[in-house]
Amino acid sequence: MRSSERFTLGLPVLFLSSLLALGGCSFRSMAVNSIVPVLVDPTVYRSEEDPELVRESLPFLLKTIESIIQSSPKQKEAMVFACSGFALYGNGFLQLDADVAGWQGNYNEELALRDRLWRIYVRARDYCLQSLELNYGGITEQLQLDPVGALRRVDVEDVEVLYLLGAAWGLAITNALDRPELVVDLPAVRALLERALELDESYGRGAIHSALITLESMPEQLGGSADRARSHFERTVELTKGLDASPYVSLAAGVSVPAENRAEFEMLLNQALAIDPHEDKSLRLLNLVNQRRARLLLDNVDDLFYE
Amino acid sequence: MKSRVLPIAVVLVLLPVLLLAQRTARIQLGSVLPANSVWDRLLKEMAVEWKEETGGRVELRVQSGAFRDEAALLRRLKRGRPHAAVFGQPGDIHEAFNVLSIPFFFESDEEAFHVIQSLTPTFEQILQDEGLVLLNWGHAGWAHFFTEERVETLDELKRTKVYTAAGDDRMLQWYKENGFDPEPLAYTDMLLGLNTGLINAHPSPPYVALLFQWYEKTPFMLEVPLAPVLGVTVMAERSWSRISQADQETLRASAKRLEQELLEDVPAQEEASIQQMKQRGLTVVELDNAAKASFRAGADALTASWRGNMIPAEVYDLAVRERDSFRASR
Repeated sequence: MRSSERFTLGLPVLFLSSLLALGGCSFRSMAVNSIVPVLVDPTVYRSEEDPELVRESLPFLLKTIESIIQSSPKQKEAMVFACSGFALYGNGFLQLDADVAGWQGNYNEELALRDRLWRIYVRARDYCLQSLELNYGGITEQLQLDPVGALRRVDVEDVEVLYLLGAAWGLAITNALDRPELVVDLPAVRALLERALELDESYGRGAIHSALITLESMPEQLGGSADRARSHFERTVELTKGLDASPYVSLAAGVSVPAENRAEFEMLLNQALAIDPHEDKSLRLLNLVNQRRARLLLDNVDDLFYE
Repeated sequence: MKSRVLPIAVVLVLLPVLLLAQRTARIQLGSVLPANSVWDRLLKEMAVEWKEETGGRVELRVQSGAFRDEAALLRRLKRGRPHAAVFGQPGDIHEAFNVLSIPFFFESDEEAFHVIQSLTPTFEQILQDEGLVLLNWGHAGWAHFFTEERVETLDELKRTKVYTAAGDDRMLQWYKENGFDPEPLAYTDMLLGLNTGLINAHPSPPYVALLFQWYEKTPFMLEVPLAPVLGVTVMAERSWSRISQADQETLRASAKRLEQELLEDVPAQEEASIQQMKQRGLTVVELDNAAKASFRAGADALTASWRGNMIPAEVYDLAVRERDSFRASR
């Protein structure tokens, strides 16, 4: 590591350590309240043009945020960022590593990554649940027993958390279908995303619709529907004006593959690759990540289709 | 000068064998099993063993969930790709496999696998006639009846609207002839059938009832197990024959280890699934020994007609004989 990198990395550690070492709850609270909005500005990450920089910086930031949460357990903004950050770290980086390892037959690596992945998504889930608990005591247990009923209490202010929670929880389950204690909560995932959609259909320029493409791509026995996945795809593309690669990749992997529609698969992924990732800076990081996923899917097309 | 004819001839004769030993066989293994499930994980562990123990000569690509139904999987397998497959319902390959799913026929894994061991040469021959090689037996847990209302007797079960697989006309006919009220549905329509009241009972392994959330509409599970859900892993003969005999033995040994691991991991998963469902409202309907015996006796009388009808008579007779001898030895 170069000396300048050590310095810049070391400074926030020293700064935060000093803050956290100071006695007095109110002062600590004030300090935490002032630092959190600066640390947890998601636009800095979303617009990044170098995904590897995000990959390398997120773990440090997330551990810092966890320290803040530990010292200030009711810091909702930090909890939501931790939820979002762990989900992003898993989905943007480790998930693709696991998928690639699987496609290439490196199963020891894949299985180790999947084991790490579900734990990271569960951590993300738990931070989102903690943030909801601040306003809705007991909602975690209610979500497990009666998810639709539990979500009658939430309102439009909660849509961001509902979306993140649904995504993180769903990703945890799909990476660990050998764990009944996780699988049993699948109904909560659908309830969260559908309630979020009901409260703010256009949230995040189609982010909920985009997540629902994946959910509806599940087999029909699990309540999925290729037709509904296609409807969510069309609405996402409309809301993002075709500048988001994610819906194209999700529909290709989730619907075209099981339908054995290779022509559609290749068309969708090529559409994803044709998007200029720099045109909409708020989508830049995710577009770069999804375009890498699209290229890898195309590279492995012969293993995904049998004719 | 010594003649070089003999060494050259030897090399030419051995060349195909040497090439066979050195060439990497890349085997695609398709299934309807969910990716990241216990079956998928163990198959991938087997793939690692295959690669390591054959020195990289055999590479297995596990493609779980690549197919949505086993009929399509079987068609593809016979056409050439994938090269191997796992079937959870081998009765679709040949009716002889139906002997493994006779209701209330087996009482334990030990009993079922004793019968399987005895019948394996028969099954291997059946698969060979289909151009397939048996690698191992799979275990997906034990099917239990899940019902909307509490059920304790065969007569109460007959009053439910029970799911049966669409397209299996003989099973539908059997249900009807024996006083049941079956509703044929595609597997994919089960949830819809439960939500609309078209069916209110189904035989399922606990993990499957949990995964697909069917237990929410049918919150009573009959403790007495219906039948083990036993699958097979097979490879197309044309792919198998490209692998050297030494490597074939290595692969079989590894596949056998997977079979043993499933016998340990699947019951644990089944128990965990039942516990999770119980926390969310599932009631396990326990029967005393007399009631269980009555259930089994009634079912035995009903399923005797499967002999020669849904199962070849000689296979049925052999299974009964082996099962009874196992029970007598205990």
